[in-house]
Amino acid sequence: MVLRGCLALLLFAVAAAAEEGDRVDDLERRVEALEKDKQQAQQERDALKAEIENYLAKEEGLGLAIVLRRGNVLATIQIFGDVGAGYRNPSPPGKGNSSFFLGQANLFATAQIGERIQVMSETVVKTSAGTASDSINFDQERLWLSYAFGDLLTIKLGLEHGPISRWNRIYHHGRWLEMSIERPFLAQFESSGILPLHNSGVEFSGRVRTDAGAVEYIFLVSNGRGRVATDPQKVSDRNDDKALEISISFVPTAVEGLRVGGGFRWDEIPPNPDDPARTGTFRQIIASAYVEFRRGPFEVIAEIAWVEDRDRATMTTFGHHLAYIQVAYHLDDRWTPYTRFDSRQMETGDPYYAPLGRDTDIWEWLLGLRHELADNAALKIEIAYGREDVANGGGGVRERGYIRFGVQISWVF
Amino acid sequence: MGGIRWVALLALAVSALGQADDGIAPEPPPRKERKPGDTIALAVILHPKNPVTELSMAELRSYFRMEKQFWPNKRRAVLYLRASDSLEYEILLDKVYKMSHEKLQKFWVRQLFSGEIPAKPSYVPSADAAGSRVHAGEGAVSVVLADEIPKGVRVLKIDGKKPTDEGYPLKGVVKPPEPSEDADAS
Repeated sequence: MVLRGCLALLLFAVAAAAEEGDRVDDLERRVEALEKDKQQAQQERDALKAEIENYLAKEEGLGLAIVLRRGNVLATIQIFGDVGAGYRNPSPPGKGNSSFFLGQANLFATAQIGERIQVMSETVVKTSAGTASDSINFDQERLWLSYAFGDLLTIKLGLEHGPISRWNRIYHHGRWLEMSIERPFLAQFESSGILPLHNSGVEFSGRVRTDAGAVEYIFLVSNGRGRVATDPQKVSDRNDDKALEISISFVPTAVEGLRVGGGFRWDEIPPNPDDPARTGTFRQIIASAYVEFRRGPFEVIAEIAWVEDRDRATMTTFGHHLAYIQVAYHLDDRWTPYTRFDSRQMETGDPYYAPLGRDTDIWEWLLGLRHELADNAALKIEIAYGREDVANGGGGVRERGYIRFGVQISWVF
Repeated sequence: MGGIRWVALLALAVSALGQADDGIAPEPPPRKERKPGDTIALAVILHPKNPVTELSMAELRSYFRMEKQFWPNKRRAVLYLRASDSLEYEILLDKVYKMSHEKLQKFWVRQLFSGEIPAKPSYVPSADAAGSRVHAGEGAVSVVLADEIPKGVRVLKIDGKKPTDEGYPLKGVVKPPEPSEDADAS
C-alpha cells in the first residue's frame, strides 16, 4: 500500500515536473519571441529616427522652398513677391508724385527628371504696365525643358531669358534676388526697356574647365523681336529670319569671385504695316560686355550694351548704348548699402523706339540700403537723382532733373 | 530550483517588455569629443565605383558649387552637405564656399532660379548617413571628418594630398563654443 502510494506520488511528481518543464520551455520560447520583437521594433524605430533626422536636416537646408520628390522626379516650388511705395518729382506722366505699388507675384517651379532632364516654369502675376487701370494679368516668363549630355553640352528648348544681359540671366523676375528695387535701364524688360530679354527658341550651353579658369558658352536661336519693341514673339514668329545670340563668359582661377563675359546678337525685325515709318525690315545688332565680382563683403556688377538698328527701307542707322555699374558692400549678413550709376543714351528718331517714347536719354545715380528682415525677406530703401530728356511740345526735347525715393519689401518662400 | 528559474525568466520577460515599451531608441555612439583648438581634417567621400581619385581645390569647389555637375563617367554629381551646425559644414563654408551660411542659402536660390542647377543639395545629419547616401548612389559626394570615415566609400585626395597628410587643404580648427544668451544675461 505504502509502495503503491509512493509510486503514485512519484508518478505525480514526474508528471508535474514534466508539465513544469513544458511550461518553462514555452516561457523560454515566448521570451525569445519577445526579444526578437523588441529587436525588430528597435530597428524600425532607428530607421524611422534616421529618416526623420534626414528629413529635418534636408528641410534645414531647403528652408526657402517647397521640395517634392516622387520616384525619379525632384521638384522645387518657390514663390517670389514684392510690394512697395515710391515718390517721384516731377511725377511720371498722368500720375501723382507718390504711389503705393503692387509688384509681382512670381510662381516658379522646376523639376529634375532622372539625371539629365530638367523642366522649368516661371509665371508672373502683375499689374498691366502703361495702362490707366489697375488690371492684373498673367505672363509666362519662362517655360523650357533641357537635356544635359554632360558639363560640355546642355540643350534647352522653350522660352528663356537671353544671355545678352548678365543681370537678366541671373535675376530673372526674382525681385528678392535683386539688390535694388528697380532693374537698371539696360536690363529692363521689353515692356519698358531697350534690349530683347525673352527668347523662344533652342539654346545650346556648356562649360569647359581649363587651368586658367572656366569658360562658359551659350548659343541661342530664337524667334527674335516682333514688329514693335514690346513684342518678344513668345508663341510665334512673323518672319523666317531667326535671331542668333551668343554669349561667352570666363571665370578665372587666379582672381577668386571674378567673372567677365560678353554677348553678341543679330536679328532681322519684320516691318510694321501699322506704322508708316516702319515699312522695311530692321536689322538689329547688339553687343554687350559685363564684369561681375563677388568676394567677401563686395558685390559688384557692371554691364555695357551697344545697339545698332539699321532701317533697310531708308538705309539709315541708329546707335544707342546703355551701361550701369552697381557696387554693394555687405556690412554683415543683414545690412547692405549699395550704389548704382545707370545710363541710357539713345539716338533720337529711331522708328523702332520713338513710338514708345524710348528714344530719349536718361541717367540716374542712386543710393540704397538693403536690410534682410529674415532669411527670405528683404527691405530696400532707395533715393535717386537723375536727368532725363522729355518732349518740349515743339517736337524737340529738353532735359530735366528728377528725384525719387522708393521702399520695397520683397520675399521668397 | 524550478521556482528560481521561474523568477529569473519572469524577471527577464518583464525587463524585455519594459525596454520595448519605454519608447526610447538606444542613442547612437557619441561622437569623439573635440576640444577648442583641435585641428580636424575633412574627408571628401565618393562611391567606390566613381573613377575619380583626386581633385584640385578648384575642381572640388566647382563640384561643391554645382558648377560642374557630371563626373567623368557621365554620372550626375549628387551633393550631400552636412547640417549647418556641424563642424563639417563650418569647414566647407570656410575652405570651399568662402561665404556665410546665409549667403550660401541665397546662392542656392539664385542658382536654382537661374536654371543653373536642377535642385538644391540635400543635407545629411551624420557621417553614417553621409556614408549610406554615398554608398547608395554612384554619383553621390559628401564630406565626413577624417576620423569618422564610414565603410564602403572612397576618400579623395585633394591637391594630391590625403586627409592625414601635412598641408591637406581641407583642415579646420575647432572653435570655442559661442556664449549662450543665458550666459550673457547672467
